[in-house]
Amino acid sequence: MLNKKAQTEDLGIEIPFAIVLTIIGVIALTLVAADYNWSTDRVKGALHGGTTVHAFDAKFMGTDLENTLKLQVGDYTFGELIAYMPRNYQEVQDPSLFEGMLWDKWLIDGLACDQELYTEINHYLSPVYGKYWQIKAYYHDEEIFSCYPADILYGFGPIQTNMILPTLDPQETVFVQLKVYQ
Amino acid sequence: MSKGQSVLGYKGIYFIAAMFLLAFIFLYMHSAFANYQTGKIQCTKSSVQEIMIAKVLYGPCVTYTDPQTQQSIPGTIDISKFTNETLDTCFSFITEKMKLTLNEKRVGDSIYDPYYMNKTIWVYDGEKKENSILQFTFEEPPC
Repeated sequence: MLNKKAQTEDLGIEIPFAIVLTIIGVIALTLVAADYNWSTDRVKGALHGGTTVHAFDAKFMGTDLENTLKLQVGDYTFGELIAYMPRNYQEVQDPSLFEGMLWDKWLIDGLACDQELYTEINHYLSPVYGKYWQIKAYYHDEEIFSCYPADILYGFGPIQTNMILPTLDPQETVFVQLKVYQ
Repeated sequence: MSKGQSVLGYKGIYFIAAMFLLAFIFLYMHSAFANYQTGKIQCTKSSVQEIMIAKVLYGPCVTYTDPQTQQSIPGTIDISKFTNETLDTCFSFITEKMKLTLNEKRVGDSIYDPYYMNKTIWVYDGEKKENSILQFTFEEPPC
């Protein structure tokens, strides 16, 4: 009778002990799995170039920017218009560019796209990026041009692609950027 | 009970059962985690799709080749190369299905669970060139 009582008391300790061991085992396995997961995600992140936005449409943006710069607007391509921007952003030197294509921002030194240019770019980029695209040009680290849908919807990101274009001055360049939000 | 004879009591049976149970739980969980990780590593469908897109946009399969420099121009399509035969030749070693749509012209496979993406493109038709949108259609990645 005494032995039976002792056995019952032993089992009373062993069952919780077994449960605790099982829980510890599960936690250990979960931590190992999480660590492995983290390592895998880091490798995948490296393969994706470290971008945080993994949307499929945001891949291969370089060709989209390059193709957009080839768009014909009036007598010029968009890329040629950008080449003219450095000498027009503080004071208008070529008034013909400001007839539907470029727009001189009030109060600040900077240019924006006017109706004709915006329509062309938006018509081309909206099937790919919707209302999430933004094109900017920088000259000597100063933003001299920006163009984006009026009702642009900002989201995660942005991710971006860059291109350096020549200007009318062979010694100077303009840094062009296509940004996409997701 | 004679000397040296052991008795498998209630406690012994309990320990054997508990050992089996714990071993089973451990093996089951280890197997489940391993399968999950293997599945995650082997899921390369989206990567293969990216390779296919890159090949279309940058490879010489369907892009326009400048006759003077003999260089392929990335982000272009030579409409004379935009055929099912070209696509079959270029992607003969890839089993992933893909359909391309350019100005109502479709080449590639039929997709039943489609996933679309658009890219800007310049289309060359002989001497003429115009801007357009190329639509890629893939099967929805399962993972």
